Amino acid sequence: MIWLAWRQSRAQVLTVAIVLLAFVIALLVTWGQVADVARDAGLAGCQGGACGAVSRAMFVQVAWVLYYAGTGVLLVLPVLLGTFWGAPMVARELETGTYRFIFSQSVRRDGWLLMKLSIGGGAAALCAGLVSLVLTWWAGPVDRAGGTRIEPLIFTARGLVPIGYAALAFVLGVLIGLVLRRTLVAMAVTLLAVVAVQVGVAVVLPTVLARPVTTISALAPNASFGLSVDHATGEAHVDIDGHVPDGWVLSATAVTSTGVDFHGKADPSCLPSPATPGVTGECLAWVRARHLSQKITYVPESEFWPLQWRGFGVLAVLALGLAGFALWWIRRRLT
Amino acid sequence: MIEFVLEARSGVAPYMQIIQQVRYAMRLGVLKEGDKLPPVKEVVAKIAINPNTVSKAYRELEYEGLVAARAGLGTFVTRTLGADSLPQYEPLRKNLERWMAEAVEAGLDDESIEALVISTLRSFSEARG
Amino acid sequence: MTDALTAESLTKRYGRRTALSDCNLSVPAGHVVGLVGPNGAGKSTLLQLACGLLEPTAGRLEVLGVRPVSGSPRVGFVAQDTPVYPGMTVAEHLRLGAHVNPSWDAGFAERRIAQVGLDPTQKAGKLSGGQRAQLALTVAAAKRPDLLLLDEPLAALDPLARRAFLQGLMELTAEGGVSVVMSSHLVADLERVCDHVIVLAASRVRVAGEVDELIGSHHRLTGPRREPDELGHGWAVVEQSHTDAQSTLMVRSTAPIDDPTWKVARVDLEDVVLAYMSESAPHWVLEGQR
Repeated sequence: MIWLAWRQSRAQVLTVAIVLLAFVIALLVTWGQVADVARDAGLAGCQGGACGAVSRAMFVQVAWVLYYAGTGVLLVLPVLLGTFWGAPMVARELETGTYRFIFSQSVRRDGWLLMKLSIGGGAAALCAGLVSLVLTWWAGPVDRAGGTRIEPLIFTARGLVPIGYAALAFVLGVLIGLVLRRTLVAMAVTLLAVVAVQVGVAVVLPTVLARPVTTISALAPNASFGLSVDHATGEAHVDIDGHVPDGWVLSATAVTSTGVDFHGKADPSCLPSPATPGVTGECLAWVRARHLSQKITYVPESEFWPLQWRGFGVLAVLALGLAGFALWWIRRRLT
Repeated sequence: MIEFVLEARSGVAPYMQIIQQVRYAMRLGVLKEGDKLPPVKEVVAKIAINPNTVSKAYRELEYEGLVAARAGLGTFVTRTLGADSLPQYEPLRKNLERWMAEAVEAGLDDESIEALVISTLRSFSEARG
Repeated sequence: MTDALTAESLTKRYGRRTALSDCNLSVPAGHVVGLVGPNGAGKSTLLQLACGLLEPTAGRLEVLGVRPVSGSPRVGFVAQDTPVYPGMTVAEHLRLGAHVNPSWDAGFAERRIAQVGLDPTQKAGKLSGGQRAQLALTVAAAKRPDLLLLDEPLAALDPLARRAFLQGLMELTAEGGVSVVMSSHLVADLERVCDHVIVLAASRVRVAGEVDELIGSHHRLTGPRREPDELGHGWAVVEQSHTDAQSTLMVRSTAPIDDPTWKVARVDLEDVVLAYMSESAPHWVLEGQR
């Protein structure tokens, strides 16, 4: 059975494996370059946003391309795996009728599916894992300097989470193919489903599973903020431009000294009039007189690995759950 | 060894055709006492017919006393027909030759004579039951 | 010996479409059974139910004494248009069979492949219809099943390929121990090969029984024009056609036909099957006597 599962998927697995292997080799080859540059620019001892500008200025073209390519590849990999490996796996057998051949051999339907899921899912996890872990290590200096690792877009393409996404996307594709029984339709639906899952999980994960940190600090005299005034009611709202050097901001609001979100009637000087476009000096003074603080809730960089583990756990559980459902489905019915 | 031929739409059951062909071969002297009939597997591999049909035919021939099955060795012919029984039918053959001469005089050609003989034989057999 | 196949009020519906309706069958083992009927009669459905690829909607089905389950080592199945994996070679198909079937007879498989002249390194997608059928039959038979189910194996084959396939199949059955159920919408091939027949039409079993018994008990009667109810007892009229002067009937009768006004003629299997497949045939089920 193992031979069969391998024999049927070897073309797809080899194609993807070769491409990814080439990419990993490129990363390994340029590592020397990256390390040298990081050392020379003093990035090694650098922390926080201050290094951001330095890192950007110092990187050579090739490494920069690889950085973006690597992140892009890992973001797109689950979609490709689900659509081109997962969806056709069972759908093609059901559509072309070869299921009538294989299921009249002395093999249990669920045993067959379990083997296929294990081999395919394992290969998907392995490919994604290898690329992700090499890229995480390779891009380490840049990520640390830029402090952006915890942001959803980069977070999804680092560490363990891509492994979870790859395995989940594959299993999802297989299940969709099993239920819909038409290869092209299954591929299209899987593509949409995997994208939806990736976006959904990436957005929901930090808000649900992370332990965010909330800081309240006084509004600096030269801090930038936006002021919006509702013309009808005269209500004022202060928009804080929250920025944290190494963390991902979830929310930033203006609060009063009691810690309550600020709303209040705006000073007449803040209401727009044709004579004074823009914010007047009196308005600014009025705002400062409120003695507001900025309350910023963010997920700190230190949460990166705990969140990776939790995210991976959630994705793995989802993948196993869907796999179990697929095994139940194939036992119950085929057409 | 004898080779069987099956005529699909002859109106004669397949197993009967096999029996007839064995008897015919024996009458002609193609099959003699001690000759082996082709094994069932070989027969069905050549003409695609049900092996039970062949077995049934061989059993029927055995019942008629023409062949005997020997365990592990095959089915063998136990009698010889034809050659030594023909002399008894010499008078019949003479009669037939005389009739044929009459038929030729009446203007029938070989084909017509054959057709007449066969159709008369058929209706005669059917009438006999 | 356990029956090869037993069905009791077997029904299969796909949504609103009924494929099989209230079928009762009792097929003995050790025979080559022909499953005949027009397209859409339910033959494929019956075979797929028997090998566990489908579940019945109602009724009971037993194959070799047990409920059918897909992936049974005792039942081999060759589906319609003989599906094989186009990208895999002949040898790889045999390897698949060896890996997946515990009762695989590798020697038999290789001998058969050589005998039918297949190139082991040839990709299955490049084989002709006849060669694919031989490959599919080899894989199904090499696991030494007790029952072989074949769904229209001859449909796409030219006469030469058909003959070769039947020769191989008969050789297989001559070795003993395997029952065959073969479906076809062509009757001509079946008479020489089958010794038991099931006629399926419009999702119902019309007649089933041993070929010899069916041929022996059915007769074609020709005679002067009269209504069928004027006939005596002991005859069941299967098919009838009348002109102004003449009536032609197909009857089933175990008693001899005494009435001299009827000319009695022997029928062959095709005549019997066609009579039961036609619309005018009575809707009762006849079980052949064994």
